Amino acid sequence: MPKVTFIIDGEAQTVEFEHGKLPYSHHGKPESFLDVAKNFGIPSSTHAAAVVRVRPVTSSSNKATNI
Amino acid sequence: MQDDEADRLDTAWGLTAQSRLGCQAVISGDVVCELPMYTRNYVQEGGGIQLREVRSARTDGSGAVREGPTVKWIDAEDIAIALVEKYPDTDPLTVRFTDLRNHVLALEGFDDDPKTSNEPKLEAIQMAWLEEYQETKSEKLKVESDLVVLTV
Repeated sequence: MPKVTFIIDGEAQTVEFEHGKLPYSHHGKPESFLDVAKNFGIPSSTHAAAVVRVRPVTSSSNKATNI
Repeated sequence: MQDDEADRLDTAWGLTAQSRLGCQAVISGDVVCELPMYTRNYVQEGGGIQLREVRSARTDGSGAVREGPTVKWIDAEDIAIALVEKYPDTDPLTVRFTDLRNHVLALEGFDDDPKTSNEPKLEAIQMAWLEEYQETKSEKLKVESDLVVLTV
């Protein structure tokens, strides 16, 4: 179950979701950062073209990928 | 990362090797996601310009932007809805900015100075159009799959 930590204005908020079970928020690609943020009501003003910096929690297989 | 995303990222400030578009990077494991303070928000800010709070102009289903306050370059969402209705099968990412500009200028109800369009505004429109396009497409797929179920 992926765990995503959003850091906004220096404040961290961590959410978890199960692949394939996240309702599509109609924002961005399904299970994208934007979709996850929308689903969990992450207080950000970001939309389609917002830029985020992504870093894996471990350097091995856990990283953001494109479909 | 695809070229389209890389092109769009190129317009943002302070990029790092780990920068991605929030709408394109799909999560496959545990990650930390940091939103830079200066992150650009094309859809909400219209490329840096806040959209009007009151927006009464809406589309009438024929691709025309209906009456009400006239629609300007910064009204990305209203323009996007009209473009999806007028060009339902066009992938917004395949439209060049010069063509996009002409499409917007040709929309009924659009009233703004052609000279005041610029790349950030067109980019905001394109992203809003893309979002509407994808939403409409997924709704169509759902309807089609429902129809398949009904006919089996």
